[in-house]
Amino acid sequence: MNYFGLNELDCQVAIITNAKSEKSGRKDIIKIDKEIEIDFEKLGFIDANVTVNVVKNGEIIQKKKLALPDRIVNVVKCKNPRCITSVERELDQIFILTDRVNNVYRCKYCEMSLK
Amino acid sequence: MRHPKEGAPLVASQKSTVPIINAGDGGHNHPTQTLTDLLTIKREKGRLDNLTIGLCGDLKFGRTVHSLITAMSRYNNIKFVLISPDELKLPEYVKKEVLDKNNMEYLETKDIEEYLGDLDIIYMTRVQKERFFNEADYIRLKDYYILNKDKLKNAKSDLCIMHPLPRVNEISNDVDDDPRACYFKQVRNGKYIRMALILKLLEVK
Repeated sequence: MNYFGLNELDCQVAIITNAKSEKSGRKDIIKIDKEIEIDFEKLGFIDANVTVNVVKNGEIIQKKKLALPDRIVNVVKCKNPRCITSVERELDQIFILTDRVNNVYRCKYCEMSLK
Repeated sequence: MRHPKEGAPLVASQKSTVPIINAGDGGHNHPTQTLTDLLTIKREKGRLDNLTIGLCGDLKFGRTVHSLITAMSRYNNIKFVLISPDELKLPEYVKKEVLDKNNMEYLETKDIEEYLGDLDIIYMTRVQKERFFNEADYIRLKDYYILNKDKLKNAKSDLCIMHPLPRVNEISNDVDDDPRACYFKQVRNGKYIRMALILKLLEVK
């Protein structure tokens, strides 16, 4: 919720858990009662299986499938204490997707993988 | 540029108006040492393929070891014997992303003598104090391996003993006069390869 500022919106946000899903049996749904700007890369990084549906007048007008982004900027911090980003605070925290099959992201600077 | 923080040369290269050579950044990479090592192997063994290479000591933080494994993955029939205590084993990501990915044969052992007779090259490394946050761990592990004349009795007559230097205690002084000791030649090769690299960056033909 905090990641995307959903708790600060001036509209209703509904969270539904254990909803029925034909594909995976169960799914969780976040329903936002307003069209908002979403960082799809950030969302894809958190879970690439997320689907975003834009609904207007009860109809789905856009369906967006997410994927793992090639790189993520300032979403997570490198935890390697020997990394240059641990002392040069103004540097962007950049992680590059180095292995799409195993979902491995590595720090652009020290190449330490995200655990 | 030599720097204790990993990735510092990359940051410098993004701002600098002149070429930056990474001369070692923390436990990350040490590309000019790897060029030195490749030149030494080529000169001493006459080839860069069909070799059994023992890597001994700090394989966890040893940047020279990670870079050398990556470089050797370009050549055929390279086998590695990874000799380290449990605490300093080669990181899983190097095994998965370099050794396994390139179908390279390797085995791990804690015993330096177990496979010494099979090796064409033994690459010794020192345990570096600055890589540890806990001094007790450093003191416990620093003298884990000491290669000496006695241990070399069963090694091949054309074994090449390498070390990126400086050494602490991991190669005994009684090995220095052994014709198989290549680490001082390795230093000289380091000078030549760095001269060549600087000339290349200056575009001297």
